Amino acid sequence: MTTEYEIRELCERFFDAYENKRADILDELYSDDCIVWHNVFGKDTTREDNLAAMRVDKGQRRRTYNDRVINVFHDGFVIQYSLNGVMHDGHVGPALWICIVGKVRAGKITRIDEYMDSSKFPAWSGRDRK
Amino acid sequence: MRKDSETLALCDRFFDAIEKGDYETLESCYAPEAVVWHSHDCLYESRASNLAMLKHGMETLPKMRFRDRRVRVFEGGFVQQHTMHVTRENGFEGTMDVCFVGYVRDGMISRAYEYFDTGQVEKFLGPR
Amino acid sequence: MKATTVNRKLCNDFFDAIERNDLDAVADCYAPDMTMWVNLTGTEMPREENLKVLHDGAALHRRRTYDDRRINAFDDGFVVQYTTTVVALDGTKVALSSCLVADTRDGKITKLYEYMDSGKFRRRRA
Repeated sequence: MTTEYEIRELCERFFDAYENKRADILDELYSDDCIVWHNVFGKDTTREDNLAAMRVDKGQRRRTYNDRVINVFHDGFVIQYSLNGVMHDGHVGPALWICIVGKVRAGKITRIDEYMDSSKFPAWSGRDRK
Repeated sequence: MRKDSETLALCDRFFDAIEKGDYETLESCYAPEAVVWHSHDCLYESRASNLAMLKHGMETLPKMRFRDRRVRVFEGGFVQQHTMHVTRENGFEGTMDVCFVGYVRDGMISRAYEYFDTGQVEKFLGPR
Repeated sequence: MKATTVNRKLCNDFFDAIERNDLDAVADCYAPDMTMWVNLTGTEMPREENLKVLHDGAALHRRRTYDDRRINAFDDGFVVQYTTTVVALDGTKVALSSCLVADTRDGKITKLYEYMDSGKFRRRRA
């Protein structure tokens, strides 16, 4: 049985791994059958899709996952956070405010449901600048 | 946790009330200090303003449903994921996937956070 | 275990111990030089006096619980916002919203700062 403290630490490690671009740690944390659902796409993706996506340069030199508010239940967590990016050209747009519900089993993440607002992407990435 | 069932009941009561157009029950679910944050503007909306908006929806929209509700309870609150189905006056049926985080005090929602994708607003509001 | 996890667990263990009137477990959460400041009096109380207050206070009500714990932990402490629900000897209940800030060292509480609203306390009948 995973304790609430272990689930919370798992959640933190997961976001730290994304922040530090540690695909090796994410590989450990995702269960083999993990599904990641994104509201923006409205469909399920696999752990492989997401690990591959992490390696693609989306134009940020650095991204940080801040203001993490984590609440834990017996089989997972909900996290509200702000995603901040510094682009290669130095642009810093307004943060993206995101919510993720995660399911945990035996110390691994078995499902992620991610809620973002895609209408905020252009401002965040600086693509809306003339 | 003995309070889990109370929190689950509150969550169900809140969303059921909106579906049924039961304004009194809806209103009783919000604590006096309640504020509601929305991801489209990242601002806290007052209790009065949010209730007025919901009341207007309940009175003018033919149908509002919260489908595929998945709720989890944590210490001090709950999170519900659902798909909102709204039938508009012109017959259009709009949908939006929503994540609703509610912080609870004394059996009422004291603070709520609603996350959804306004990038898909056409699916929700219909063609303009 | 990360320091923040140690402090988060310490907060829960501390409240759980008070709830079940386990004063040995409460004492175990305290460093030897621990003191407590309460906003109601604005004064600091040493460890032994605090343990005595907890001991004496238990007889004044039937039960008290520390619910809705919203804990934020740091490397050297924690802050918790919570609801204290007190069931009086006559069965009536009152819920108080309070806040506790703690300094910690090596997994023990060295200082507590308690913020309550005495205006919400039930008045003792004459």
